[in-house]
Amino acid sequence: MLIEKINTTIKAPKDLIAGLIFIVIGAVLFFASQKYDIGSARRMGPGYFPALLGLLLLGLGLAAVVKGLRAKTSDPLPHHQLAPLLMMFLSIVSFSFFIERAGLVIASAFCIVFACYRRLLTKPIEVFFIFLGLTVFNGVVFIRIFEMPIHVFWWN
Amino acid sequence: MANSLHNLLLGFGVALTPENFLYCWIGAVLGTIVGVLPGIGPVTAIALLLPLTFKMTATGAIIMLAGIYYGAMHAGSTTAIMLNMPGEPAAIVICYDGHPMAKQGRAGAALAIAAIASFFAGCVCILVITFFSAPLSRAALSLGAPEYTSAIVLALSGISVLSRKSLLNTIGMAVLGLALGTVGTDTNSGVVRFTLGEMRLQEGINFVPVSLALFALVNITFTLSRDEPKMSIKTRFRELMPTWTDMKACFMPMVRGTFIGGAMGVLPGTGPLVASFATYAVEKKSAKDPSRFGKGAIEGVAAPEAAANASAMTHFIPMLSLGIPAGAAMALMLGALIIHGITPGPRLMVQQPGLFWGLIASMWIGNLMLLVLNLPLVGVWIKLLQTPYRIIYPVIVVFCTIGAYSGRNDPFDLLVMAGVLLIGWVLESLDCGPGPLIFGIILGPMLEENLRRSMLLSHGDPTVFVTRPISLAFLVLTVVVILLFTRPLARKESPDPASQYD
Repeated sequence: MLIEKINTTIKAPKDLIAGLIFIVIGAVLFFASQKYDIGSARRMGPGYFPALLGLLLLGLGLAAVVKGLRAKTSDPLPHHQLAPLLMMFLSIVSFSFFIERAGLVIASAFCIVFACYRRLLTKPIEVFFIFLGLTVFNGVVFIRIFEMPIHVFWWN
Repeated sequence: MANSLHNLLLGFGVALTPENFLYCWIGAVLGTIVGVLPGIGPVTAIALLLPLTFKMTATGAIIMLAGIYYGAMHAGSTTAIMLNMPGEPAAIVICYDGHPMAKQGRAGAALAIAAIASFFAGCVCILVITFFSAPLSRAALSLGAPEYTSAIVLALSGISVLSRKSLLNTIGMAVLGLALGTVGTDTNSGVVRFTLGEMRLQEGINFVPVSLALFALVNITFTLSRDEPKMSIKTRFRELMPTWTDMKACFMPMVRGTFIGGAMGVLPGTGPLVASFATYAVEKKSAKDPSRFGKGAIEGVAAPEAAANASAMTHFIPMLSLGIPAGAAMALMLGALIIHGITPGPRLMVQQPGLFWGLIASMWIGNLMLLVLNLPLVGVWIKLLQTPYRIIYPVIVVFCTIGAYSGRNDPFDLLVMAGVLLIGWVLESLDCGPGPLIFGIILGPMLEENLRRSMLLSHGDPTVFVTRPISLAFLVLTVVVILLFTRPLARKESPDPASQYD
């Protein structure tokens, strides 16, 4: 896959890729801060500090790229599965989508379903009890005791 | 001296009323639970419980909130040791040696040493607060903008250098964090920066969802992608107590940690997080065999734990003596006091002796309670953490989600958290440490403010940072710290990757 290809061609991909990312962000930052008044060293405008940071990031990125290209020891990219990342992401995003539209119970349900995606088919009862326990706990603690303005269901 | 003792007695009189004693106890227990659970830190807990305190007296409120704060400090190391997940950011350093110790079957000793170090540091620093509040804050007043700038630079470099990962990448993270800190309204000019039209970013990126994402969620995501998340550590309770050699080895590190942490806690911005990292570095450098660190050196647990707790205690000094919060948690407590109609400042000691000394007395009591909670009861927490990981992590995810949401009751913060999860995942796969990013976000505005003021004072002359002695000292320290830790990396020719200090 892509990761293998990178690992065989470049010895220190981490520094290289991180460096590239920093270069891009640094450049973007530098140019974006031109929009604001830069001012001078004596009277720094709102754009001065971000521009400075942008340049700094650019420099660091270049150094990292150089370091990555010159590396002698191998430090390959790790193989991480993407599924957990996607599921966690969806877990949070779905909660944010439902919490104000459908209330805590529904939002928690989605959150937990995504977080426990692997067990949905193998141990659904366990997932259900986690959902039940957590929702009751959260309902009691956060809504009753802390009186946070969170809807429990969509009709509250 | 006699005056302080007299005041302390007054304080105990206040702290030992059944009401305040109860608040102290609740604070300590909640703090321990919060500290043990990754995903919810003391700041979140304080933020969540703040509205409750409206119905209490000011004294009761601050006693409880303070209890949560240092309770979480004491307990944050528990998950760091057991699960390699820090209960809150200051415990990150404890993972480096605490978790290897747990894997070697010495979790009990690590936990016990952490509890003892916390107690020791706490006691010493409460004494310090008792006798030195006034003169210490007078000394801190002499620090001007250039000194603050250099101090923040030192703090940022320190935290970048002490991470286990690639140095360049980590400094990059710090700078990235600073850049993220510029998003929002610039307090100096009122100009709104980099919000891309999104109104909710006008106050800047809320750092709570960022930190929850970086420290809890990314960790969970990585753990899930390993096939068998075997996170339960078996501890044999026979090994709960550390050996006598352990204790002897830890004594000086504990003292050093207390000293360094206590000093750093007084300075705003440098708190338990920086203190623990700095102490770890000092211990490692001054150890006879630095290669032991990172593999289960017990000094690597004792010293940073002492430092974190020492600075947590002295963190109160600027707030109580000057009315300046030294960190986010302190800022919240300041808010609580203001809501109760009390304006903290140099006159607090005189105007509200009951509150001031009652708080200090309650710290003694709380510290003792925490020793009990963390030592004999550590079995309870271990049992709690021995629940299979697959049950723990959804709980953490949900707590993070609610925690991030409850800050401003805004789903947008959750989207921030989700976004940071993605970015953090990518960056951590690239060996970029997350700690400096959070640091940058929090310290960014302060750094910019002080840099601006320094330049204004010196009429644009950058040499002001080296002509003023204290500022120069900080900068020299920065260079020293960076040099000390990049020397091993310079020997990249050596083919054995284990020889890197990582």
